[in-house]
Amino acid sequence: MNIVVIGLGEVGRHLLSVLDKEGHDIVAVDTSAKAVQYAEEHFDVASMVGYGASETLLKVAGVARADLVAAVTNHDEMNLIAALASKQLGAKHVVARVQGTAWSEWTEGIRYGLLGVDVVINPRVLVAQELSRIARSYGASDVVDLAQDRVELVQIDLEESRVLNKPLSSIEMPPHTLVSAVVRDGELFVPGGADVLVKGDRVYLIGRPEGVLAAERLFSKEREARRVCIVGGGVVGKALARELLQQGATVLLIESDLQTAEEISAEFQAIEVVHGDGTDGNLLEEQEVGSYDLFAAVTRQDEINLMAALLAQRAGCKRTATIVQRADYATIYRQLGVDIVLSPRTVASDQILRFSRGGGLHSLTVLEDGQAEVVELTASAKCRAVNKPLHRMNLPRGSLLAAIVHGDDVIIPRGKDVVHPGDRVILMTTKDARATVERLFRPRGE
Amino acid sequence: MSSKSRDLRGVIRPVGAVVLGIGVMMALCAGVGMLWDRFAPNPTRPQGGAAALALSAIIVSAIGMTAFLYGRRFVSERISRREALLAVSLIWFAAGACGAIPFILGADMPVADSFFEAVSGLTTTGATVVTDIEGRLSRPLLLWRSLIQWLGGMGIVVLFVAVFPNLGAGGKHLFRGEVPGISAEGLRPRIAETSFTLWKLYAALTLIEIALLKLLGLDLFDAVCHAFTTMSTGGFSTLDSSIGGFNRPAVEYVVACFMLIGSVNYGLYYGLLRTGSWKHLVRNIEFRSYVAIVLVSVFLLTLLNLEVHRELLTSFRYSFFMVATTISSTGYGTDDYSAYGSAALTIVILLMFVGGCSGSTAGGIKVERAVLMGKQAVAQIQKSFRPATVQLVRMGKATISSQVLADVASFFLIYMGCIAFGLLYVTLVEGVPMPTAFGAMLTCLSNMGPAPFHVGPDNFAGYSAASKLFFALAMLLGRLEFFTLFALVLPGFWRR
Repeated sequence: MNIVVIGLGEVGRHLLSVLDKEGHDIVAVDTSAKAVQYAEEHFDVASMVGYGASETLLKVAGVARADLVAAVTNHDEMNLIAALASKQLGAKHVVARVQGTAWSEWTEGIRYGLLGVDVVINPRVLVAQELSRIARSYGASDVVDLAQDRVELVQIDLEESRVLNKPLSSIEMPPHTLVSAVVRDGELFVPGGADVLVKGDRVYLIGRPEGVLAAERLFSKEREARRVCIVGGGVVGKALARELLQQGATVLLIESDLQTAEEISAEFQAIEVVHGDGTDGNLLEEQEVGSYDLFAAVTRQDEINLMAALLAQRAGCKRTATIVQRADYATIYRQLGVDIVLSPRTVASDQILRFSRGGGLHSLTVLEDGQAEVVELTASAKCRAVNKPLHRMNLPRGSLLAAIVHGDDVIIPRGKDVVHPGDRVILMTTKDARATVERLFRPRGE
Repeated sequence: MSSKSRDLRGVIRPVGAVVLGIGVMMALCAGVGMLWDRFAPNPTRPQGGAAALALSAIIVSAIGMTAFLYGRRFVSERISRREALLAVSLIWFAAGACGAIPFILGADMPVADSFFEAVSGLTTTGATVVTDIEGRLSRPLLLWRSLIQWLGGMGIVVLFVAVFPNLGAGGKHLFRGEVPGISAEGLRPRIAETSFTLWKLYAALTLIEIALLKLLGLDLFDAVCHAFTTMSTGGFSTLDSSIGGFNRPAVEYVVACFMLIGSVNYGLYYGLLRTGSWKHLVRNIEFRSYVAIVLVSVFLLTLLNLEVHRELLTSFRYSFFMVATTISSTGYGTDDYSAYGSAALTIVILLMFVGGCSGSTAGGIKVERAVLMGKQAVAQIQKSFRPATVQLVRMGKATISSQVLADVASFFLIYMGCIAFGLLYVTLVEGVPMPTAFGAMLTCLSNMGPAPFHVGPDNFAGYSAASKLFFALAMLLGRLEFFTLFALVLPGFWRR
């Protein structure tokens, strides 16, 4: 597939690393010669230095023949113009990222066909939405909605609970849910009935939302967050506050810039806005952050987020969440004790990567640094997997058919269930099983 | 492995893979040679050789397989720059050593001679130590001799990168180790596809030449061997008297044209095929300069050679071939330049220095570097009286960065340094006259083949074994354009 990536910041580099491994023909563009040199050095891509929205440059970069153009620079308007120009020059799919405060009134994180750009994503809003889903969950550290909110995938880090130290088959799972993957010591695997969960494992549960909520109750002692403290009133903070208010939560927002704080206070009358420094321990004590169910540090600066989360934890807050721009820091954050670490970069690239696969993926979620992924696609009448029961589908080891959406019905399949043409299926595959699964669900002759 | 030096054992596997590949090529060559002898025998040539080739194939494949399997435990996720440089160097030395085995086993040649012959082939130099080619080398061995030249022409590492597409950015480092400088890189976004495209173009041009030579009445064997060594601008021939031995003007013109074609940047051909317009080719500064150099030299040489050849057309025929064979660093002979006047000989020497275009199979300094050095010199002189003006060196529309210019300048310095050192060595050890030593060094470093100012028969048979190895090293340095091999000599390369 021919892919042009414009902008080689955090998102761009992450895209390159994944796309390069998948073996696409990639042209990487950035205005900074240094960024281009970095890409040249580390990835097998062609590269160009130049202004990404320039027509001449786009022509030379070959967007006319491109299957995907991803405009992910730090300048929203440049991204939109580049995407728009590429579309006009004949690119098949164009995706633009926007993120600045100018776009903060966005309530959805993703828009299709905006101004003629196929997909415009606002990773900051997407992250805020994910955070709000986590807040709503019972102790999950990540929540992904699939199949238009009809299926939910949640990540739970296991502490003491009733499900530990016994075979999975003896756990009475709520209806329409299943344990799709377990991560132990950083290694992800698809568990069987005989596997035993131990403390410190991370599990991925999948199923219908109501079932998943019941399962969360089983796997975790935490309950949903009714009182949330947010540090940072930027795009993420505002979007998060908006979502949480809709859920009926009590929100306290700490913002260091007086003007922004006042603006937020004017916009959301139901929330309490505090003007102050989120990394000021005294301020956090004063505000009794220890009494909040969730503390979310979502400023633009990684250092502030980390310090604020750690301080809140010391002040007694049970669950802390941060966003991190540099996704490679996420592991360290978790080691330091931050419960929930989300990266707008990963969220953005997940949205873009699904176009690189072809075959019309509705969504793609990368788990555990690419060890596994969850894909959502419509089963075509021409693929090998349809019209036969699951046990005869020959799904490879390390893969799982997690859900079938048949009309309005969501089925968590067992051996006898059948995928009908036109059904939406949700599949989880490990890295090794991916190729085989793709073959099963790719229309024949493609 | 001491703690202070780097762990570079990741190179064992790729080197093993290439050696294994060479073994397979050898087996193929043995098979084809045997069939050829069976179904189209040529009693005028020495017989046999296929068995020796097959035996060499077994030995080489076994070595390659062992290294390939043993190297599995050291495989690194991505080949680093250092590993790439080391791998490319090792691959070339190993290929030279492996390529020599059939000559040792099949033609009873001494080890140093065989290594010289194999390296001369791989580096597309085309200098030989075999005094009686027609009487000494059987057809399977001649085929092998031409084949290694063909493989070395576009590059064994480039072929390796084309065959193993999963090397990622590591493939890029490997590619650059073999094809440094400003080159055909970037035809396609992925380096494996670039390599594959280059090889496809190369193979297609070779096939066309085989067909043309066959049409002109050459024996298929001669057509294949000469096409292999023309496209690679190598210059090995199956005849003692080289292309001149056919004494057919048409053959000479075809071969000359393909030598010229082979020394143009292959990226330009790709551009031509992809866009279907001649624009890229015609507007390319390097190509223009190259054509200009060819035209002027042919014109001058034709005039100067009227003294020797009398007739205008004859003079043109020999001069055209001489220019083509020299600028492309092929080294086929139709004419004896020891009979040339000083001016004509100077032109030949200068052409030998310059060589073909970058991104081609030709050797030498390369037209692009020569042009850049000229422009840089002009810019520097201008600076002496207009210091405030911005002086950028341009190639067409592109501005050349000072980094690249520094690269070109240091290349030239290293080149001249190598010639100087070589002169010293050869005159000291071999006691030959200075011009002879100079000719030998120049021909090796520019991968040309025949040595000007040579006394006695025009080949390297007369030198000592040590000097043959020295010349082989010079050819490798020239082929890999110095940086790759010299990097290994610096202690910093091995340190952590």
